[in-house]
This record gives sequence, C-alpha cells and structure tokens, in this order.
Amino acid sequence: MNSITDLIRNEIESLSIDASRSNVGKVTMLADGVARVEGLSKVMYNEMVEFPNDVLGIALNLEEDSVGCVLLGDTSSLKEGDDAKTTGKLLSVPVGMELLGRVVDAVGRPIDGKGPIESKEEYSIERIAPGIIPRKSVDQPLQTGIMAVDSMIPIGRGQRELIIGDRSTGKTTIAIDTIINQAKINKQGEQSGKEDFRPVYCIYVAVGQKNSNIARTIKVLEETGAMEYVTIVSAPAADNPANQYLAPYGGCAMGEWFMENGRDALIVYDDLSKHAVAYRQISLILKRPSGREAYPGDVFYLHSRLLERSARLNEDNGNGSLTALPIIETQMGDVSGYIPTNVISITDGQIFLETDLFNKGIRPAVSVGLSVSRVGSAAQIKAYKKVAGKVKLELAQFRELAAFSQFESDLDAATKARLDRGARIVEMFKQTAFNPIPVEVQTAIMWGMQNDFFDSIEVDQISDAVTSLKEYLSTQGKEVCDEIYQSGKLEESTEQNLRSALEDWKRTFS
Amino acid sequence: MSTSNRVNKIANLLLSHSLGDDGRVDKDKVSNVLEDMRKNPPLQHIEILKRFAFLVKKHMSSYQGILEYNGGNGAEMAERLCSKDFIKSNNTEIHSQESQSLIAGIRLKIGDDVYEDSLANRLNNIRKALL
Repeated sequence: MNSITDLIRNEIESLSIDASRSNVGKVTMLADGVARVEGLSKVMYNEMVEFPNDVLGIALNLEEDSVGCVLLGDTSSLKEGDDAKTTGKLLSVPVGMELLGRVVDAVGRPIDGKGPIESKEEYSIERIAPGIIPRKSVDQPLQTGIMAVDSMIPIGRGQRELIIGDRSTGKTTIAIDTIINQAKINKQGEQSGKEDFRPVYCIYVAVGQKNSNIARTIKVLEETGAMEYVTIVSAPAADNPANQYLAPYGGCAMGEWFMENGRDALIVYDDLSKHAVAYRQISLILKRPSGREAYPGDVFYLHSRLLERSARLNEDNGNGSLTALPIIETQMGDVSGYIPTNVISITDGQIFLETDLFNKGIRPAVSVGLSVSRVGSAAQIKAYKKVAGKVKLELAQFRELAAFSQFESDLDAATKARLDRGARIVEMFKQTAFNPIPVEVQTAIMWGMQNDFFDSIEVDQISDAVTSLKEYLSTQGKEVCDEIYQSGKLEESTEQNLRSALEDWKRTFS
Repeated sequence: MSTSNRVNKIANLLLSHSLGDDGRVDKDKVSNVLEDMRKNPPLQHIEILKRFAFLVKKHMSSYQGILEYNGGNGAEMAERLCSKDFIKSNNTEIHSQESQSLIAGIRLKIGDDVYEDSLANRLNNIRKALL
C-alpha cells in the first residue's frame, strides 16, 4: 500500500510547478487618484498595476525607491499598506468593427448597456506613430458638409485639422456635422455600389465634458442615423483625471485599427484643452516639475505623440488613413496661449471660430483670416476646386474692404461689386447645425454664385435662395448633381446642364 | 546638491560600509557605522538614519526569502527550493511559515518578487476571468 502511494507521490512531485511570478509593492500614499507604491522594482513604464478589489493603475513615474501610479476606477476601497502587483501588460483597448455604434469608457469598456463587446483584437493605447516610409501625402478629400470649410479650408484624409475657438462658438457642432456627413456619404457610397468607395468610420472622444452634453451628442448621432459608423469614447468631467488623460490615446488606438487594416477613419478629440488640464493635475500630484502655467515640461509631447499617430498610409501599407479633428477652447479669443500654440504648431491647419461672428448670426463662425488648411486644394474634388478656388480671396478682400467702407461714402463700382459679392458669399455660407450639404450640391451652389445667379437677389434673401436651391437640386436638379457626384468633374456639358437647371430654379424662386 | 540627494548619497555610502565580504549586511559593521555617526553626528542625522534603515531593509530582503505554505511539509519544501539554481546562485535564506490564506500550495517572496502556486491564486484568476 505504502509503495503505491509513494509511487503516486513521486509522480506528483516530478510534475513541474505551474507557478506565477509577479513583482509586488506596498501602497505608501494615496491621493486624488494617484498611488505611490514602494517596491515594484521590475515594473515597466505604462504597465498596468493591479491593486486590491480589481482596481487597476498605470505606472507613470518610475523613481529610485517608489513608483507613481495613476488609478483607474473606484479608488475608495484602497488604503495605505495595500499590495500592488505588476501584470506584465501594457494598457490596451479592444479594437475592430465590433466597436461601431457603441459608447465606451477610456479603456474600452462598454457603458451603453448594450452588452459586452465581442472584439477579437486589442491594441495598446500607447503606440509609435507611423514613420516616414509608410506615409503618403494627403490627396483624398474628407467632406465636412460645411460649405465654409469644404470650400476655403478643405480637409484631406489623414490630415490633422484643429478646430479652435472660445466657448459656445460651434466647435463641437462642426465636428458632429462632419461625422454626420461621413455617415451620409457612407450610406450613399454603399448604395451606389462603387467598387473604389471607401467609407469613413468615426471615433468621437469626449474629454472632460458634461455628461448631459455627451448624452445630447449621442442623441443627435442616433437621430441622424450616424451612430452605426461611430464609436464614442467617453471620459466626462466626473471621471477621474487618469481616465481623461487616457481617453484620447484609447480612441486613437481604435482609429489606428481602421487605418492599419486599409480603411479610413476620422477621430475627434473634444477637447484637448481639458486633456492638458487633466494631465497637469496628474503631473502635479505625481510631483513632476511644473513649467509654464503649471503644465509639466512634456505637455507638448503629450499632444504631439497623439496627433502624429494620424496619418495617410501608402498603398504598400494598406492605403488606410486616420484623420484627426482636435478641438481646443481658447479664452477671450487668445490663440497665443500655451496649449493653443502647441496644438496649432502640431496640426496641419486650423478652423478658427470667432465669437463676434457667432453673435452676429454668421454660423458657422469661421474666421477666414485666421483659418487655414496646409493641405489646400489637393484635398478637393476637381469640380469643387474649379468653383471654390477664388472664394477665400474674395471673402478676405470683402472683410478688408468692409472695414474701410465704413469711413467712405462714395465707392467706385469695382469696390461696390466686391462688397456685394462678399456679402452674398457670407450669407451663402450660413448653415444650420447638423445639416451638412453634399459636395455635389455645394458645387452647384458655388457655381451659381460664381456665375452671378445670386446677384439679382437681395442680400437678406440669399439664405432663403440657397435653401430653395438645395431643395431644387435634391428634386428636379438631381440629375445634374448625380453627374457631378459620379464624375467629380465640371465638364462643359455638365456646366451647360447646371446652367439650365439654375435658370429653371431662378424662375421658380423669383 | 539638493537635500534629498545629499541624504541619499550619505545613506548609500553608509550601506556600502555595512556590507561584509559576502555582500550581505554585517551586524558588527552596522554597529560600527552607527557608533561613528553617534560620535560625529552629520547634518540631518535623523533623515540619514531613516534612509539608511530603508536601504538596509531593502538590501536584506534581496537575499532573504519568505516561504508561505499550506498543506505538505514546509521545511521540506524550503529545502527543495534551496536546491534550485536561482536560489543557490543568490545564496538566498529561506524562512518558511504556514499560511491558511493560500488554501493549498506555496508562495515564495524574495525582495519584491513573488512566486506563487496556490489554490487561492488560481481561484482568483478564475474569478477575474469570469468577471
């Protein structure tokens, strides 16, 4: 009997031990979502650290004797003396098509009550931006559906275009309009059956916003049918600063999946001012040296490493793209602040929104002088480029002349004509929120403006005229719009059809 | 040199004077160091001593292992562990103690490294996977 049990015991002892190895430490300080841990000598930078009660943290400060960890989730159960354990994993988020139509938190956990996300892949939230070799220049348009933007500040797929302005000037509206327009284009493209059609998937990252605002955005996207192409990453103001700091990186990783799999994606960071504030809060608690406006020294790197991850990849690398629309809130229109200048210098242009224009009823309140797209007309379809080429110059001349004309009583005919044209263009660009205009309709309206179809209409009637023309182009004039949509060009025959269509509309409008 | 840097530097120096030929903290040498400090107290005496104590504790924990076990013979397990190469090469001392919290299995802690094969740990992993 003994020999048999010895035999079994020997067999058990010969089996390898399946031991797990970890590196541990003790919490010595806890404050404002940050824990200082003694030990953890083998922890990696940005590694996930496990605390009791399934609380996770990220190792951000690796010092000689201690590690500074930002905590994610509910930290109320933690206390000094608790154990912390390395996990050997860097923080990652789920990625893939399964995330579309979902609302997730900063680390990709669903918060919309629609059940778990059955994602097959995970991406680390901190990734190295694509280098020089896999990139190509931006040459494909990303239509926002906003006439003032698409005509004067065209955005291309893979571009980083900053939306900047004071509070309540319509920054988020521009971003949401763009997302809605992508959904419309996607549906139109899928119905058209074009082989080379590439849908644009969208990620909206809400950082430090009110929960009510995020709920409103979700509602708008659902009502307009855009939600099926959108993932919302939510880190509201009520969330701890660590989540607010991580959310843009998590959202970016989700966008990168589309880019690396040969698809096009758009990501909106709303907004990076609050992101910088959250990072400043974490840095101060971690006792990192502070610099200008108490921001840490690496606040530029905070945004540059995020925005550099947006790119247009070449054919050898799948031809995908990730377009970024970061948002920055200015104070009293001051673009020379620390964070605004940083982000302006990183991005490929900016859409500057002015409070004065907004209050005058010019919405979207795009400032022509301060807004620019460094990609330029390379990101416009040929037809649109043809009609919108001169509009920015005309509008800039109008603003300058309008300022001078206040002091002049007698104006020469040429100046008066420019002022009239400018006033009409300003009216033409007025657009209601969440109502993007398809590019072919924009082209037709712009063509009408360039070919004097609006000259006989009173300035205060232009908005009505544009609305009426849009309706006409979506019904009787649909054929000519389809022609522009299919060819992307304004050939002579198309122009003739357009002329006859607009003459027909003009009669009905008059 | 900042205050904390100075304290750190002196404490490290004291630690190096406290080590024996085998690289371990030598009790006599520590006594000598403390005696010398008592005779010639430096600036920030208490801070230096606190830092010195921290460094000594940290250094000692790198070659002193704690083996927790539940079920089986702890002493035998400690002996078997001591025969392993990674323990031998570091000349680690193993102190064993019984721990009910493991339910069954072992947990070995050397410095801030923990090697664990216990039922409690496996159950915890299952719980996390199911959540």
